[in-house]
Amino acid sequence: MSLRTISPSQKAGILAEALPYVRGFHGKTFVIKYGGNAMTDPTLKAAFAGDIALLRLVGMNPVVVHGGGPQINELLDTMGVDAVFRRGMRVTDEQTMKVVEMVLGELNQEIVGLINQHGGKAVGLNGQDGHFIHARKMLLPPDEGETEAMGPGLVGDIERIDADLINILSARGYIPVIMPIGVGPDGEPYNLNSDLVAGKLAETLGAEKLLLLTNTRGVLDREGRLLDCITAADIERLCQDGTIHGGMLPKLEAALHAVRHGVRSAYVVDGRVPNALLLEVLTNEGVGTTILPDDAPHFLADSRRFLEPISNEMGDS
Amino acid sequence: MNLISPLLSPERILIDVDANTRSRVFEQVGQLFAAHTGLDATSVVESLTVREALGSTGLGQGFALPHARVKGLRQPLAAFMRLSLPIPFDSPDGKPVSELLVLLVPEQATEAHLQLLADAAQMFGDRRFRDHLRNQNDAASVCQAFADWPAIAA
Repeated sequence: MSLRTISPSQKAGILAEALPYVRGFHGKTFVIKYGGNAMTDPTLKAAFAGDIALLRLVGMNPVVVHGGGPQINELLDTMGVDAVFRRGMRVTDEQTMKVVEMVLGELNQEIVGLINQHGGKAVGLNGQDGHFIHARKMLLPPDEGETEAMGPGLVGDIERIDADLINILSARGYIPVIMPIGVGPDGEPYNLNSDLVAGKLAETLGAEKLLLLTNTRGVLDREGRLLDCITAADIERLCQDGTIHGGMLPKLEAALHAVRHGVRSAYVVDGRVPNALLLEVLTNEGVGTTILPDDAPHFLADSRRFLEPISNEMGDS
Repeated sequence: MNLISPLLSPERILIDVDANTRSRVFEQVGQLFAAHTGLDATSVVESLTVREALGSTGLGQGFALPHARVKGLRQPLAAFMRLSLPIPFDSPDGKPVSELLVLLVPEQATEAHLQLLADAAQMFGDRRFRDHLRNQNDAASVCQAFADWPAIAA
C-alpha cells in the first residue's frame, strides 16, 4: 500500500497510534545489527537510515553495529586473494586485515553519511576509538592431525566492551555507528563477528532490545515455517538438533547472550522489508522472530502462584 | 473449539474502550461484570490488582490476560476489551497493550483453571489468531473469532 493512497486524516491516525510506543520506548536503547540486503539495496538503505534517524528524533537511543562480510569477499576477490574460512571464521592475515579495515571503514562512513542525510547525527566508530572494544586472539581447538590450537589469524573474541563512550554519545543525541574491530592487549586490531559485537554491546548498554537484520523471514522451523516468538531455551534446542545452522548461528548466539544478560527482548528482523525497524519498534507486530528470555512469559508461573494457596487447601480437605 | 470461547458472550465484549492506565481498565472490567453478572465490582478489581502485582499479565504483541479469583463465582467467566489506544503494561516485549482477555475464576481455583489460562496464552501466541482478532470490529465477530480458534489458525 502506498502512503499516497491514504487520506491526511488516516495518516494523522497512524501517527497518533505510534504515540504509546514512542512514549513507552522513550530514552530506551536499541542495538541494531545492520547487514544483508538492507545494506546493499539503495531503497532499503535509505529506508534504514530514515528509520534510525526517526527513532533517534522521537527520543530513543539507536546504536548501530554493522558487518561487511560480502563486501570484504568482493574486494579480496578483485585483488585475487582467496578468502579462507576455518570453522566459519575468516582466516585473517595482515594483508587480509588491511582489506577488512578498509572495507569496513568505507561502509561505516557511507552509513554515517546516509543517517546524517536523513536528519540524524551519526558518529562512526571502531573498537579502537577510546579503546572501547577489548579483544583477545581467537584460538580454535586443533583439527584432526594437528597438535596445538590454531588461531584464524587476526580474528578476535570479545573480551569486554566499555559502555562509557557510547553512553556519552547517546546522551548528547549522537547515533553511534560501530564497525566490528576490537583491540588486543598490545594495541593490535582484531576482526570480530559483528553479530556477537551487537549482542555483547546490548548487554553492556543495558539495551531494551537487540534487533538483528537478516535476509530471511526470521527463524524458521524444520518445515520452513516462521517461528514468530521463541525463548532462549528454544534457541538452544533448535541449534542442538541442527534446525538452525550457517549464518543464523552467530545471530542467535548474540540474541541468546543478550536476553540471558538483561536485554528484555531480541529480534531477528526481515531486513528485506522496507521500514522493518519501525514496524518492529512502533507497532504491535514486527516482521520476523521475537526472542524472549527463558520461561517467558513468566505469566503462567505467576498465575500458578496466584491460584496456589486455595488449591492446596482444596487438596487438604 | 477451545476452552475460552464458551466463557465469553457478546455483552462482555467491549471495543474502543477509553482508559489510559491499567487501573482504569480494571475499573471498567469491574463495572462490566457487575452490570452483566451481578458480581461485586470492587472485589473483581481488587483481585485483578493483586494478581497484577505478582507480575504483569501482559503477553506481548499488545495482548494481556488479566485474571482474578472471585468469591461466590461458580463457573469461570471471560470478558474481552479492546482499548482505543494501547497502554503501558510492562509486557515481556515492552510493548503497550490494547487487547485484553479478562478471566474470572472461582475462589477455589483448580488445575483446570490454570489450564484455561494456558489455553488462552496459547491462543494469543498464535500470530494468525492475533491478526484475525484485531480485524474483528464488533462484539459478535470478536466472539466468533474466539469460537473459531484453533480452526482459524489451521
